[in-house]
Amino acid sequence: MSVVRLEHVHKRFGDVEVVRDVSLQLPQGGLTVFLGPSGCGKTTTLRMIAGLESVTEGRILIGDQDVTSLDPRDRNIAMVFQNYALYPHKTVAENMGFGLKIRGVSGPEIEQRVKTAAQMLGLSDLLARRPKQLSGGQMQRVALGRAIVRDAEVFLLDEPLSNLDAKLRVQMREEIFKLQRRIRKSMIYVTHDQTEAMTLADQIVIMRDGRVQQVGAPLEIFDRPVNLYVAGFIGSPEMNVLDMRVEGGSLRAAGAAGFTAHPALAEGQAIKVGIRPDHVEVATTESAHGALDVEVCEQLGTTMLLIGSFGGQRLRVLAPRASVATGERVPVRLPPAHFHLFDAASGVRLN
Amino acid sequence: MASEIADAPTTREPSGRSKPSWRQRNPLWLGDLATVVLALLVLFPFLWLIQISLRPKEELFSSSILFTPTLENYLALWKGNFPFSFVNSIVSSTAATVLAMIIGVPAAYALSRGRFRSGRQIGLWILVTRMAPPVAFTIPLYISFRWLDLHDTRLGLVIVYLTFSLALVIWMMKPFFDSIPRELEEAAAIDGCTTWQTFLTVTLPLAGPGLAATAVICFIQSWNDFFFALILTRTQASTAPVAIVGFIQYVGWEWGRMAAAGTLVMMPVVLFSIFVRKYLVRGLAAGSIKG
Repeated sequence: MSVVRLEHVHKRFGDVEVVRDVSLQLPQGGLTVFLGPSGCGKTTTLRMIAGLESVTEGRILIGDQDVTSLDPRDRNIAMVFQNYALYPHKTVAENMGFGLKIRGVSGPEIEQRVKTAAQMLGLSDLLARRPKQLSGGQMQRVALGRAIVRDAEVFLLDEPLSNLDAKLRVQMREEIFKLQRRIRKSMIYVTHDQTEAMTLADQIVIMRDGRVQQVGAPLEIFDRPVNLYVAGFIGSPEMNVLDMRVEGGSLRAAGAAGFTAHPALAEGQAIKVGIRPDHVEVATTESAHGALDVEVCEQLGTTMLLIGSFGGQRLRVLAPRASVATGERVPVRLPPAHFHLFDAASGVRLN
Repeated sequence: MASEIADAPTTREPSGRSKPSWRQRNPLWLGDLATVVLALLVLFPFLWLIQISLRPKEELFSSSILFTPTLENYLALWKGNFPFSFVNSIVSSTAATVLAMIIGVPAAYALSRGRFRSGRQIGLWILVTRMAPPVAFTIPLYISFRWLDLHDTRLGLVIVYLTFSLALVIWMMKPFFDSIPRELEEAAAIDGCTTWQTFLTVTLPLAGPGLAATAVICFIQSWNDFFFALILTRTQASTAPVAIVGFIQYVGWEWGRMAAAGTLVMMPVVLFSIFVRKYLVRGLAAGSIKG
């Protein structure tokens, strides 16, 4: 059953269309991540679900109810803002209980629910403080707390970790993950960080220029990106893309041996072949498909990233730690089993 | 004035290694001395006025600083018409301030938040009402007040003060609202507030310093008005500043009473300012950074 459904949703600001024909179904109790670069329309989509932005065209349903034209307060949603948006003149407890107070919940019950939420988030000692006296991580927790005391149907998180430093971000990511698995509420999480998306999501929605590119589980998207854009966006280091051509029934690239072509490909067709850096192997000279002229060699600790030219095309190889120096020529193997084939013109996946 | 307060910290040279600051180059007491001298210079007219008001009639202009303080000037005021004028001043200024805030603050909020066409022009036109010299309005006001039976009434004064205060309130409050993040209001909307609830429970408390500063300035502006009160009132609604002029008579100038009345007129403004001084400075600075 889906808890949130978007049907052909459009959003225009004047002449600029920022969200184009988005249709989505978000699963009950799952964590959905909207992923994309800034300006792709993910935050606008979230804000339309929240009711903070009007919908130009289309419908939004929460549960069975059409909420397209309802006020935010009638949608039974809770939201965590990028900069937390805590009320500076209220204490932590008042911040968390404000939504309940406005909805006419009784004093003792508010106190009880705030206490429970505070315990869950480790905020019990901070309830009397004001936002100014809190660290970034603590403010983030209060913002989460304000959302969970409300017992809303859907939780919306707009880049909640982007204002934290790297270490705290990883820690809060874990906490959000545990929290979501514990309370089992439907969450929509907006981010431009693919690591956050991969680690948190039950379902990822990748957006670009206001359109949905692909919807799927993290590994599904990682293993089978539907187009070149998604392929380049998901995975770090980024997927290699090599220009090849079907010649005499096999795929050929400059400076490389031929690969067995997929039967569906037409003779002479230009193909973009994607292969992840960790699938490229450093090989012996006999088994190699070609050679990599190493230009940059980045030590990552357990592995090392070789960046260089493969027959004139840029190739990244994630190799086991070894002594390779800049300027060396390394024989590499590109196992065709790991090829992602994309149409050169449209970028659409072929295999 | 406001912008000076706000700009001061940013324009100052960072007291760094290259150039020793003024404070480092000069002994501390020099700064203190300069402060005291300046303060005395600024306060001199006020102090002079206060001491005159406490002098007995015979010693009004004696050059000696030593005199027996007396309240006879104040007592004389109390027995005359002055208390009535003083009350008129309080009533008309307070009413004008309260009304200007009630009408102007939501208007400023709407101008700050509303996404409507020609919002800027509306703001500009509100400011334009303050551009003509007040004298320009005297004759039309006088004639229309006669016609509307508002001449020499407190209501009439309130209306005149309101027309001037309103523009001030709107233009002072708008930057305060501009500086309050929209996300806070969005958070309130999601928490379940209606637009009015959001305004009253989130936005307004956060604009508190701005409200205080605006109300004080608004009050002082009406309180200090002399010109309109002189033209538009006679006996029933005459205000304290006008009453002071009444002490200049054919038989002589009653310096003692003028000084006492002047001191009394000054007092509410001084007390009010001291009371909200903290907010006043913060408010003025905060508003000007953004505006």
